[in-house]
Amino acid sequence: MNGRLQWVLPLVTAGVVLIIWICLALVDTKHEALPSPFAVAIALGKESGQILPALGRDVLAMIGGFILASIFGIVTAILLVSYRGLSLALKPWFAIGRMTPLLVLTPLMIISPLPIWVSLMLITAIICYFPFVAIYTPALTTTDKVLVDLFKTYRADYRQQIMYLRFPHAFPSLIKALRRAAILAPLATLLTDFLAGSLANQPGLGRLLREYYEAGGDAEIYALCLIAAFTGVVLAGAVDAFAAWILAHWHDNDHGTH
Amino acid sequence: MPNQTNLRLIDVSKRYASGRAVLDSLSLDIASGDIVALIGPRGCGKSTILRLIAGLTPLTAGEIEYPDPEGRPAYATPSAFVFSEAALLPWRTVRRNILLPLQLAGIDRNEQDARANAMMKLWDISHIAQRFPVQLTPGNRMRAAFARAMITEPNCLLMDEPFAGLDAITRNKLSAELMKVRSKQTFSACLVTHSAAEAVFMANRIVVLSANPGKIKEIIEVEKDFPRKLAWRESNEFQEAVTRVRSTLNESQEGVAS
Repeated sequence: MNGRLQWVLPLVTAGVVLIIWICLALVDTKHEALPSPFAVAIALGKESGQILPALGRDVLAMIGGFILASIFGIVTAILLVSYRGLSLALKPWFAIGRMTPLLVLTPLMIISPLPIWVSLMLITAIICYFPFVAIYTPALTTTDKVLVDLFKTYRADYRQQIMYLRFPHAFPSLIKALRRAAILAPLATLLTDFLAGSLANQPGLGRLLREYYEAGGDAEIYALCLIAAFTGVVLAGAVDAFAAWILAHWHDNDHGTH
Repeated sequence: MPNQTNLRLIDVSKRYASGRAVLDSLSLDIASGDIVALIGPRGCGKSTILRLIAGLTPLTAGEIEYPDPEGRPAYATPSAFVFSEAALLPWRTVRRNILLPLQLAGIDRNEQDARANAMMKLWDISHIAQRFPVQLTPGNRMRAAFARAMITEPNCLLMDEPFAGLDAITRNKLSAELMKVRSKQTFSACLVTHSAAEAVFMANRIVVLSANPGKIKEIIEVEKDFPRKLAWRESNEFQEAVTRVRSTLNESQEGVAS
């Protein structure tokens, strides 16, 4: 019973929201506040030739940025844990980086000699990178002292300590950082493109959003926002599903480490 | 013929960076098959002695010798530590936790398996080999910790209040099991405890320490053959031994207070 309700009730909620939306659109006859869902659906169909390629470009930058951030996040976390000097040198800068609204970096795209999609991907990567520094690196350094002592009593070298202790110990934090980065990635790509995408020959969703705004296309803006939100949900959901699967299988048993 | 010495502490001193002396010229021999209990007031350096033997803390002065007779297997270690908590890696099964020291030492996989099986049989935990620590009772967690420590046939098994986290019934049961294991496989051990009864039941020599700095006040021999059974704890002989340890301990504590 509960299993069925789990699916049915959210669908009922969506239906109720849709009905409220239709009612509001009927009351707001001039469609000043919000367009009707039918108008949004029509705009989506009409503009799909523009929206879908823009979405494709943004998704590429978003996924590319996310993957880049993940790789650099993991590598730098391991380096910071391995080299205390490096950690001391970079620690204050990472702290400043965490406090800086990184979207202010987006104008750098204007002077960047790189193709716009590369810049978009790099800015997304920079924004997605900080969850790894904030969540994963501390988890690697704060391993239970008794376990560290245990490894010392067996004369484990540093590589063994990283492989057999610190890395698996911090694994749930890595998953947490990946989840956080996945939530940030669509936001970073869309906003960066919105702020600095006007240089691109082939616009992403952000620039398209601005064009629709300037043309007064409310229904088109809603259509685009729905698509962007859906994309964000898909990416975050994919990472969440991957995280749930891997956390259920990551234990180290006789069949090897997962 | 006297038993061969497994571990020798010669004029061992330990002083912290602050200048506080923790141990002063402590000498102690642990022979093959000896179980030596270290007991004393707070701050007398009991746990520090174990940490010095295990190499977790550097010596200030003195020497620690492990006579290394020929024919010891490749996996043998000078010491192995059992902490007051089980210190099992939560992402590894019981079996994989037990063979960890051999894995770190690069021992052949077949030998790892054979030793792990032997240890699990010795501690009667073969039936929980594929369970994870979170699925175990506190008693079984400690059994796995003992099996892991003994897998390397250490010269001296170092036990730092290994039963501290257990309820009274499990504590008694486990100390009796340790005695049973000792009757099947002779080992030397150094036990830190706060309990005079536990010291008398498990050790053949009880080293009573005085504090500030830690020194040997008296060594009490317990003339009772191994294996010892729980029923012995009810005897007058046992109670007399406990009373003697307690009164020496009280004198040692009065020395600290004055």
